[in-house]
Amino acid sequence: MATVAPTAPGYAGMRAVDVIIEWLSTTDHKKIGLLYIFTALGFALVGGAFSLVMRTELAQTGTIIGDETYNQLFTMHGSIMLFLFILPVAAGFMNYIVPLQIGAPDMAFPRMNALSYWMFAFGGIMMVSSFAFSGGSASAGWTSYPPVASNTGANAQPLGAGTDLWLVGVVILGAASTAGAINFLTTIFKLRAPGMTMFRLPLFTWTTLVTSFLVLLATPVLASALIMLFVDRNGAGGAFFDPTGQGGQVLLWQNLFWFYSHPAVYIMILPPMGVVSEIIPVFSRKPLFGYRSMVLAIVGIGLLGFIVWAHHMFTTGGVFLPFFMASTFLIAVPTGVKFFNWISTMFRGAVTLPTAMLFAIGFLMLFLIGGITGVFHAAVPVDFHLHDTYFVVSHLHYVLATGAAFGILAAVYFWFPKMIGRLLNEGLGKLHFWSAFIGANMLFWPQLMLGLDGMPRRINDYAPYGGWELMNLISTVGAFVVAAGMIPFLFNILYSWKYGEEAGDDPWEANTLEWATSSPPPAHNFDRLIPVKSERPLFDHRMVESGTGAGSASATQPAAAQDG
Amino acid sequence: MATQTRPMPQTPFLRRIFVGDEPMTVGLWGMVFFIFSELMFFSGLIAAYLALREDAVVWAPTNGGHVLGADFRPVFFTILLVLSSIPMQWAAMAIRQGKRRQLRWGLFLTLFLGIAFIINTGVEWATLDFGIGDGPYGATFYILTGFHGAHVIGGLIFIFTLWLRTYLGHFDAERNTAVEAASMYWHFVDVVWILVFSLLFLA
Amino acid sequence: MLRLTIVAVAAALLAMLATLEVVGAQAFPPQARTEQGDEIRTLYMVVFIVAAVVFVAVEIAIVYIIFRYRRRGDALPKQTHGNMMAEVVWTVTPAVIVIALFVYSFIILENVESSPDAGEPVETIDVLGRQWTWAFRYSAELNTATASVLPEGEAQSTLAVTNPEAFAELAPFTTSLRIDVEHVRLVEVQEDGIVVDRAIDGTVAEEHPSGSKIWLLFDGTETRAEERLGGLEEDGVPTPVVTVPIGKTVRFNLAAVDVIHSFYTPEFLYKLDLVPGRVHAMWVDLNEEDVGPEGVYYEGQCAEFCGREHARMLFTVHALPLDAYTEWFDTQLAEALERLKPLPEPPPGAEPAGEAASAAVGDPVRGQQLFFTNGCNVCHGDQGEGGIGLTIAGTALALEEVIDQYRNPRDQMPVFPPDVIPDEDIADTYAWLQTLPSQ
Repeated sequence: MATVAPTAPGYAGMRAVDVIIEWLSTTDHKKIGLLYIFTALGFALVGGAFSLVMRTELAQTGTIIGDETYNQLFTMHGSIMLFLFILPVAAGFMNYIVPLQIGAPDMAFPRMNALSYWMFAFGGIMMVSSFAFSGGSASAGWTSYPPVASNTGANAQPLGAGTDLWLVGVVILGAASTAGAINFLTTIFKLRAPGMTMFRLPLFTWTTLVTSFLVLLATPVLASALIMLFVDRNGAGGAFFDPTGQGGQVLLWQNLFWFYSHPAVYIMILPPMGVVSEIIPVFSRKPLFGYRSMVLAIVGIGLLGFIVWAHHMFTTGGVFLPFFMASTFLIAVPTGVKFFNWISTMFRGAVTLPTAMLFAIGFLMLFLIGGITGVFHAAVPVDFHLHDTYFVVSHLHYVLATGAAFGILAAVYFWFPKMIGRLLNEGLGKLHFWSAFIGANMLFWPQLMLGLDGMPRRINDYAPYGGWELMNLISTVGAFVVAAGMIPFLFNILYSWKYGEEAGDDPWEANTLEWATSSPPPAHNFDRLIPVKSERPLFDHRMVESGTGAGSASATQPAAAQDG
Repeated sequence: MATQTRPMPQTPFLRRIFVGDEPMTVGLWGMVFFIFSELMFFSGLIAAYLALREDAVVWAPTNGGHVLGADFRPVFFTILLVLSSIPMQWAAMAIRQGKRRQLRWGLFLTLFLGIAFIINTGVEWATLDFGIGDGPYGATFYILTGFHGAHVIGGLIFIFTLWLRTYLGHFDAERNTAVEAASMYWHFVDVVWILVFSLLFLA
Repeated sequence: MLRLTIVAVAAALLAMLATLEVVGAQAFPPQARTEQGDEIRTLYMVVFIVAAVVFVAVEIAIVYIIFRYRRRGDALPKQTHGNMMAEVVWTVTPAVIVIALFVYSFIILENVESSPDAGEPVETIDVLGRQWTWAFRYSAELNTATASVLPEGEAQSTLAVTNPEAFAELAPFTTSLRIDVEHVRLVEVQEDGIVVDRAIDGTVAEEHPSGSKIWLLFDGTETRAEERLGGLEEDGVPTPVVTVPIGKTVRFNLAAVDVIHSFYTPEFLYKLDLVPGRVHAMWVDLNEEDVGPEGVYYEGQCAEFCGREHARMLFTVHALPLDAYTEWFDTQLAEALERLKPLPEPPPGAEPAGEAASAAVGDPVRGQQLFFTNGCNVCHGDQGEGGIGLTIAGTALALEEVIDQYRNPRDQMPVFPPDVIPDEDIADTYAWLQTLPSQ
């Protein structure tokens, strides 16, 4: 390949101050991507620490921390993990990878891209800073249901400034991700390389596209609801959401909130699905099985995602149950299609299991549990029992922690060599994977049992006679196993950054354009673009280089040699 | 002026209105997506208005204030704002043909009408006999007119900077994305006002 | 290889199930104690079987394929891009399965939510949620019905009734009635009708047709101080108990006073939210057999996060066989009627206190009204006799101390700042409380 291997962006000879200024003022999508990823990982450590405190509280009956502290912790754990970890870390990978995958020199609006990042950082700091104010942080849950989140009417515990900071923080985060979505959409529609038709887009780019549409259409609705709640608390006296205040409506908030927050679940899970769809073909040495049906499934999930929001409200008594039950059941179908496609991709392939692939398979095995437990909630009468119990807690963590977060970790192991130029250590990586895989199951499986037994979520204490102690204890131990697994992971990143094995342009024999440039890529991304004639341009290119001709790959051909 | 050398009917009508015969620039695509998100933002507010109104136990302001109707003044200023789309469109079409002087006049007229509208909103707010804390009607009235007003002000600032930039020699028949974008945005602000006005003053 | 994988996965699953058995947890909800719960549990079982089959099949497939198709050399595997037939099959099959599940769930949902046939006896119990406790009210049938429409949107309305004598023994302001599903307060008894105030408890005023039966509402909340809470019982607050009959349909009317709560008894496998501004109906048929006259207890708690002490918002369901329940109900009703007698006329000697003096001390009639409109009775009982809150009838505290309690409450009482309840109102209520016998 023609890319002249450049030395990694050399800071030798630059003063530290200049390096910092360069990072603070950058509009390069790759640097912004890294900023997103590392800021989000930082927030994740905070949110994860909160969960350890909560699990410690729940390990036994009796209380260690006060009610209000506990409420603040679970509120901020949820808010941080969703708004400040999964969404932005995915945005970071999209930022870094999508322009490379479509052969673009940068995002469509580089300065707006930088603005998005800084708005995210500012909104995040604003949200977390609420701990420093009297009354502490927001404590109404990440769903922030009024009237609990109100300071009006008959609410006996009117929440303080932390809630206002939370509301404004989320509005800013929402604006950041909407601006990001506009940027991704324009980039994908307008800046594709010659030959990169829509049905040759890599799957990660496809998920970015659909995700961006969901963000674009759902986030502004959340922003309107957040602003109305803010106004409700600061002047309107409950005229929007508190009937005991000025005659508002309680369920209005839930409808507006879930109109965003259910699509948000797909906003959070689609990019990791895209990651998995990139990784599995590479480490099975086969094309993705059913590329088009995969794309249709992604689009289908995106469309159905807009008409299932009220399945979070089955027990509120204010929902037309049959419609939302039907749509919720139906959304299982495209998800099922994706599973069959992933499995068929590995079938009769040549499977290797580096850490990136392990996390992708971990995603398959555990997100499956998240998906299947979702079917229980779709059956409305069963949801009457399981709603707001630990069954839901377990379900959403199987979806978001062992689903979305596993996908993100797979992306870290997969693309770290591209971003940094060095491979992550495999031994440490496997240690990380197995502690995360085993720990997560110890953590979340007992919670399914607790939920079936009727333990409600969002409580900091429970009675000792209910038989809930042992399951809670196992769950807590699992949390610490997962946390322990983070140590080799963090060490791995620091160590491999400097001392890892040199990656070269394409360490995995991958298929997509980001591997057809140097690692890390030059500022302008590509010195020369290879022609795009299928959804696997680099695979075709390897075939040409090894003299077998593009697209005629037959089962007997030896793998192409590594590119120089 | 490439437009005259090309056969006209090739471009669909709506596209010709908003974009002209040149291909959509990246900036215009950005504006289109932005307007979609703005539309969803107002949809959220309007959905809240409809839901609150549908189920309100008491709709009229709780302090004894009056629900507004389609009196002369709001109708007059609504017409004014809707009319302001005409000079804006005139300006955008002018610069596609490189007529910077006509652009300047179009922007100026739009600014004039928009400022008149926003001043009226301010005066109206100052003289209303109910506040934002006087029940669902008061709250939704202020939030809808307030956010629409904020968008008008945003649009005016945008158009004002364009107007200044014409004196720096910016914009010609080839480079006019910002004007096209401002025009799209201004039409959108008008359409939203027609919606908001119908809900608040007519329904 | 396939056989080995299946054996390995099956062994792992068996080990998991065995572990669960040993530690006493299981993959199923608790045994249901209601007909509705039985239906839900049956549906759970069906979904569980489908889910388990899918789960085991997919996990086995993943594990098997990873081992079977491990890379063994540099040969590139066959580059298959898809298979139309297979893709159609695995789109249609899940679709058929979920549609079947939908239909079955829909049928169960209809059964669970269905109300009993007209004429079937129903026990109506109002469940009032309040941060962070519960109150339960029962309905006794008064031999009377509305003869006029209860209009929408009006706070106070005058109703013609079929049998005005039924109200003769009941005191205005202290008596709650239920018309259809709506709580009203009896304000005045007239010759041929009654005046009612419906602006209480945050219920929505809807139109109710004439001919609706009128019921007398009385508080039947009992408390249970046994070791219900373990570590939860820090403040020594007893758990409210709702007493329910076995073998008679129960209709719970759910209403919240402040924020959203959720009425959840795991052994009913059923919960429904209490939403401010709405009244929700939940139908339950308890069906446990072989229960002695002392009844059985099921534990429940609030399932929707409701603020600081959400974890402590517990209740107990006390299920009694029908005859024991009837006995309990009659005793409660008799006590309630005793409490609800109209106030005796003030003795003539009390009059000459003079206008100025009574204004300074407070107006007991207005105070009584305020006691109910401010909802004090929900916790402190209709005659200040106590309940969830303390006994306050004929309180020995000075007025200043009472005002201080409103502003800076001890225990669980909510804060009432001066702009919500001004000092004068407290003085009036205080004056009324002083007319009651201290207990």
